[in-house]
Amino acid sequence: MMQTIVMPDLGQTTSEGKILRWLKNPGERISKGDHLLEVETDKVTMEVESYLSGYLRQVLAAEGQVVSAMAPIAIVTHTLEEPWEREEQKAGPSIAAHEVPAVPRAAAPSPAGSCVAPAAKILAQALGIDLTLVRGTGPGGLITRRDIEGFTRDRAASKPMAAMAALVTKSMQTIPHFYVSADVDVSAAESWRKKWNASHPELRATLNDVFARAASRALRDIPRLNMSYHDGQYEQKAESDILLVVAFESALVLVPAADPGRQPWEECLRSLHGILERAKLGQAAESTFKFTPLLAVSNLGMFRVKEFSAIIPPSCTAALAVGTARDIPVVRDGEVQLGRVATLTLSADHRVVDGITAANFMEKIQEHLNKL
Amino acid sequence: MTETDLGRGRKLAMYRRMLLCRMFEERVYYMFLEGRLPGTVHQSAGQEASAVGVCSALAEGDVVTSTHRPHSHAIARGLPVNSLMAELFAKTTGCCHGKGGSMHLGDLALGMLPAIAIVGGGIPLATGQALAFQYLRKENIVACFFGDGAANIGTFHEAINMGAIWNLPVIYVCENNRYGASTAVEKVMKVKHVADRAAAYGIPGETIDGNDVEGVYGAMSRAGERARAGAGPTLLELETYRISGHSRSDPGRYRPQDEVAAWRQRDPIESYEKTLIAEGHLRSEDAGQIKASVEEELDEAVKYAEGSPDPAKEECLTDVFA
Repeated sequence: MMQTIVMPDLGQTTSEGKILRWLKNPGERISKGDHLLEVETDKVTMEVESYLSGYLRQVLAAEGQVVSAMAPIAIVTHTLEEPWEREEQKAGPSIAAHEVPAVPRAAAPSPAGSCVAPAAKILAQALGIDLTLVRGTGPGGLITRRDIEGFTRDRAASKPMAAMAALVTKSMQTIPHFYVSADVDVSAAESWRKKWNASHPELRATLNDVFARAASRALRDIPRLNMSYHDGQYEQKAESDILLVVAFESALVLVPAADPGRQPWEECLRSLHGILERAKLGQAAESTFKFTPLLAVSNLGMFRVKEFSAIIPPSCTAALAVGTARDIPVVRDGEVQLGRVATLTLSADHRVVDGITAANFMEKIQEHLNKL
Repeated sequence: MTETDLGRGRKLAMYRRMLLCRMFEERVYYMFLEGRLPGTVHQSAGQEASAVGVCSALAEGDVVTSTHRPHSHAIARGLPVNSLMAELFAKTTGCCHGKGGSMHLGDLALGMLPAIAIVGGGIPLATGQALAFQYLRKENIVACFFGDGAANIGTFHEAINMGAIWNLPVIYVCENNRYGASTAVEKVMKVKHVADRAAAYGIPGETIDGNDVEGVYGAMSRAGERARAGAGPTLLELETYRISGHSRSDPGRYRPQDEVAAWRQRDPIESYEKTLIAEGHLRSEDAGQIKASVEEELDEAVKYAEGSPDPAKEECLTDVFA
């Protein structure tokens, strides 16, 4: 006689369960009371016993599947010989035709697989952490949320990462950010760069250099943006220094550049490339830290990022996020032409800057990109 | 085993009653997995000796108060299995007309207040019932079941203190199964035994093996005698263990496997069976026959319950007070 086993109603607030693991394979003999499968509900993971005796012939729901309570999940017959059929498929498949490949017992998640606190499991999943690498310190070796946090801490304990974490947290907690975005035309800048690079193969200008210089010059035009705020005190800054946000080996490094808009191009480029090179080697010159830029420039253009918004470093008033330069159709004099733009997003501290100031600044950048 | 006045007939009756408790719950559990039973189930497998030992020492007219885990208490108190099964199936023939379910089994006419599922909630009610007995000058007593979890609830202190000062005929029976849901008792209680607290109320307290049905019966008989004589309450602590999880959705993983295994070795039914065989009161084949008769009784109960009518729509508001 063919009988079906249904998913029991084990949930506290829901009427479904996720099948984690079948503890018996099709073809195996089962007795009433045998542990048949592992089910995860909204609250716990439980081993569910069989309420039937006989032979497990087919499992109707695969591991990982979420099944409503009372839905059939397995077919059991009294003997191994007797034919049986599923309602959905009228042909009687052989025992070997089960839908879920037999899972070797050794493939259990980890020795501590059954001993992971649900909160820890969720966190590990979110962070992509392999639980077999985590040592549980809870009762009976239970892996707790704290263990996962400790594991991440150890893994990410490299100083630059910790520094970045502290920095961005402080910034987001203390600076009231607002954002303005604009597509700037970079066709003039690109043709200038082509010309410059052809004549200065030993001192090539990157788009990053171009934006650093344009930003510095725009900052000179908009002094309101070059103002700092600390404990209710405003202070006007004279030099148009720029803080370059650079990624080295997954850690962000902030590299101050002294007024790149002031010097002639050649000097400007040598200086920019020099400080970037030194920063890469981890030797930011002490002297360069004697000034504090109020505008950060972060460029993800080389990664085909169209646009993004940056977190303002705690010492700054604004951060300019530079997206990739891309070709778009533009209408000029009633005709569609090929244009080249980049999307810039300015994050600004609203305690210092207002929307109009930010908009004026974007206008100025465009002007300076047009006349490099 | 303690010396008692129990003869062969009563011993076998207690043995069968414990089997009925255990097998009733097994039956219920599998029907729950099958989806034949609605609601939730708190099993008491492993605690049958405390239920049966206590209730066997009660007389007609005495009252039992129970908890969210009342199946064994109700069976031990002698409520018909048919009406208990029907209650679990939410049928009109259930002991609470199908409106109470698993956690509210009881029938005051048969000496059991419908069970109170709130932890510690039954202790003041038991004290009140005992006050009624005293006021009406009845010789009856109340057996108040609660768990170790309830021993740290405010009602425990207030109600036992009140029962003590008025010398009320109530036995406070703490079934200490070592875990309040998933919390080990030593994590929430500084004294070693719940019964130690009796001293604070000036009443006798006794900690005994709750898996020894005759020992429980003996202690309950002594406490009952005292209470009937007007000498006031006793705090009885029965050390026991639930073999299953807290509820039907609790795998019980917070308990060390060797602890569970050790308590399984002390299964109250198996050990009583051995004792009865050793005393010559029972042969193995008799045990098999008794189990078969229990199965039959349960078959009958399931049939009765499934064949009983569902409550009518019009009955929604009857038997309901709040």
